[in-house]
Formats: sequence, structure tokens, C-alpha cells
Amino acid sequence: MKPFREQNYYELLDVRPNAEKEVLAKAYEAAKRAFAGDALASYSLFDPGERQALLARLAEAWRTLSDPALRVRYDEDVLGIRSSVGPPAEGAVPGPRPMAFSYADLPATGVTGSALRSRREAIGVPLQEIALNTRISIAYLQFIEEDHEKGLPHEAYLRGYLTQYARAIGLDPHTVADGYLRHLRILRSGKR
Amino acid sequence: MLGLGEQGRLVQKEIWAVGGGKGGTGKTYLSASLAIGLAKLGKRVIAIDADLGCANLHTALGADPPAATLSDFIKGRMKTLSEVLGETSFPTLRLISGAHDFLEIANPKHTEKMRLIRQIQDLDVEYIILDLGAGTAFNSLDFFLAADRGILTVIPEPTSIENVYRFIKSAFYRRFKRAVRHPDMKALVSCAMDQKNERGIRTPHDLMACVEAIDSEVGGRLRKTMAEFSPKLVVNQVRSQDDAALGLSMRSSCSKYFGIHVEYLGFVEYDDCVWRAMKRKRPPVMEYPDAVSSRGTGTVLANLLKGEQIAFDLCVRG
Repeated sequence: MKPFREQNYYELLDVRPNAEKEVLAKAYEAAKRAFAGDALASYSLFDPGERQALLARLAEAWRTLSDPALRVRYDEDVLGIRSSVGPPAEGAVPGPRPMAFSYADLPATGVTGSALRSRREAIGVPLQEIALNTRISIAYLQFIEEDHEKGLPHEAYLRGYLTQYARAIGLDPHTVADGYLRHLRILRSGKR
Repeated sequence: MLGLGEQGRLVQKEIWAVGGGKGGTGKTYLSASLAIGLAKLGKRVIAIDADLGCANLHTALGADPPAATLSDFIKGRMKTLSEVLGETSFPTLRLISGAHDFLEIANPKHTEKMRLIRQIQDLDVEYIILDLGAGTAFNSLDFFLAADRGILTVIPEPTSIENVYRFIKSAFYRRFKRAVRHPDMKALVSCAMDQKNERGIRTPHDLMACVEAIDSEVGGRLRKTMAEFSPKLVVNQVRSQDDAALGLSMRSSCSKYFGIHVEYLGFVEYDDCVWRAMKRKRPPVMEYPDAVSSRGTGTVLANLLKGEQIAFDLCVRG
């Protein structure tokens, strides 16, 4: 094991050199948390300067490895290995999963079950995966996407589910929860 | 480690030490659970209470305070360690209890301690579990370094984590100091142990670089020796996924900051069963073998036996 200034990008992120993109994304998120200023595991070790240098290295690692072309070049030039990921195929650009918040395509007034579902499908996250990660019953997740008023739990619980669901598809949790609950109230008042 | 048994045959023997710096992080609990777990697998085990000042491993094992203790050995009333062996309710698990009486036993002389460590290494048994005391006193460090595997327990609290880092660093420096012969190098280690030293050595890695700059041959040899220094980590009293992931973050931090390779063996969930069993002076792994805590220590034991750790790519998400 080497200190961070000597680690390669994979060692920095604690992943294998053949790690898939999802694993890299998770590892980067975990590393950012582990080396944040107030993180339990590291606050007593790094001083602010070192921490900043480490976080910058981590960001650099993520920027390089999350870009298929840059990653291939890094693997070959720096590590001297043939990339296990392979260069991106011509024409078929799967596009990286948006990890950061990108709410622009979903206005606050338009938070509906179907809008959320299309967002989820666009980034290719299966509902099962969200259910597994959030421990929310898949039935509730389906009810959310189907705007199934009767099946949905009480608002107090629903808000919690919505925030977790929003995080899972890279949206701002509060905007989604507020928007969806407003949408639900409009639905209900329309039926009365 | 290979040693000679009583009948002169070769026995495969492993010494596991459980330490961790802060008190109350579950060192004795884990020692007892590992010892019982091994005994249940039919292994011949001796559990040794190396917490010389505050011995209570016998209670954690559900055994009565034994007649003979380590103090009888240290003070020379008994010539060999086998004379102070006590029985437990498990046929293949025996116990050497810590001292109960003299205050000065908590701080044995160096020669007394080395005699003890030598005899521990000569015991005819398959596994030896050493339950260490809290703190980074030389006693704990020396027992930790004498073991084939050094295990550290940590709980998800700042004080415990700080102490574990301090323990890792102290153990590294002590081992380093023993590995070098030249007085100048020993002086360098003493200098490095002072956090505000003039040479700007702040981490074990800085020290290594400093040695290599002075003498590249010695440095290279040392780097090989020290690469074998690989403490194992167990996170105890885990209440959330973030707590469980702490072991991964600490492993990563140790590598990035110290340049020390730490292995994350596993975690034990916070469990009232432990407290309930302890109150009755019964080992939790016996009272509640199916409790989450017992499953946790079971995983730790399995990983120790297999020489594995928690998966490289595992990312527990909170």
C-alpha cells in the first residue's frame, strides 16, 4: 500500500483496474464521504491542505476513469495495461449515468409519476435496484410511478420514500418530494 | 508459526492478539468469541488474558477465577506457563488468566515480559488468543507484535478511531525500531515518534522515505519487513450501514495517510443480546448463537481462518 500521492487512480478509489463504471461511481461517492472534513474515519489524520490535495486527486481520478476514452489512454499510458473496459463502440454512445443533480429537465410543477419513471428509464436504473438499495418495497415504488393514490402510504412516510427515490435517480430530494406531493394533492382534489 | 510440541513433534501454531487502544471497544468480548468459535471447531486453543492490570477474560468465557494466574508465573512461583493453565467448559479450550493481585504485575520488567512471550510461543496448542489491555503501553504493543495476526477492535466513535490510529502508528514505530540495528536509525525513529519533530517526519511513510534517503539498502530491506505489518480491523457496535463502511474508510485512510496496509475483517452489529448475556456472566456466542452479534463474530473468525477480508469493491451505502 502506498500513500495517496503515489497511488494510481484505481488505488485511490479502492477499486480493481477492471471495475465497471457503476462500481467506480459508488467508490468515488464513498471516497468523497470518507475524506470530507468531518468524516469520522479521516478527520484526525489529514490537515486541511492535505485533505484538499487528496480530494483534488480523487476528483481527477474520477474525471479520467469515468470517461471511457480518457480511461483507455490512462490504462495504456500510465499503467501500461490493455484496457479491460474497451474503447467506446462507434455510434453506440451509452452516455454515463448522470450522478450529479440535473433537475433542469424536470420543472418543479411537472413532478409526476410518469415523469419520474421516464427519468429513471433514461438513465437505465431498474426499479429492483432502487428497491434493493433503499429497502423500500417495490410495490410502493411502482405506485409512485403510476400515481396510484390509493396504494400510496401516508404523506409522512411517502415523503421519506420520495427523497430516497429521488436520490437514487440523481434528482434533488426536496424538490421531488415537494413537487410530487403537490401533484398528488391536485390529483386528489380533482377527483372529489 | 511452527513450533515444537511437548512430544517434540512439529505443530502448526497461530497466535492472534486482540487490541485496540480504547477501553470498552469489545477486545475481551471478541477474544472470548474467537476462542470459543475455534474450540467449537474442535481446535486446541489457549486464551491468554494479557491485560495485565485489568484481567477479566475468564468472566467473558464464563469460567471461574482460576487458582493460578499469570502473576504466579511472572513472579517465578511457577516455572512454566503450562502450570497456570486453567480449564473452561470447553474441552479443547484452556485459559491463562491475567493477574488479579499485585499492582506491580501490571508493569512487568522487560526481561519478565520477554520470558512470558517466549513461553507463549512455545505452548503446545493450535491457536493462542491474546486479549490485550487498553492503551498503547509497551506491554500491549509487544504482545501485539509477537502475534501472527494483530486484530484491532474499533467502535464508530471519534475517541476510539483516534486511539486505533495511534495504536497502529505506535506499533509500526516499535516494530521499525526493533528491525533496525544502527543507533542512528534508532535515534531517527525516536525523533519520528515525537509528532513535532524537526525533520518533519509525520507518518510512517515519511520515516521510510527518510531512511531510504540515508541508506537505500537498509531502506529497501526495511520496506520489505514493514510491508508485512498488516493489522486487521473489526468494527464493533455497528448501528448503521455507515458504521459498517467505517472499516473500509479506515482501511483506505491508513493506506493513503500512513502507507500502512490494514485489512478489514468484518463488523459486529450492536446487539442487546451481548449485554444480556454478559450480565449473566455467560459468553454471548453460547447464549445466543444465532444473534446478529454472534453471526458477526462468526464472519470475523471465518475470514481469519481463510485469510480473507471484506471484499475490495464493497461499497456499503448509507
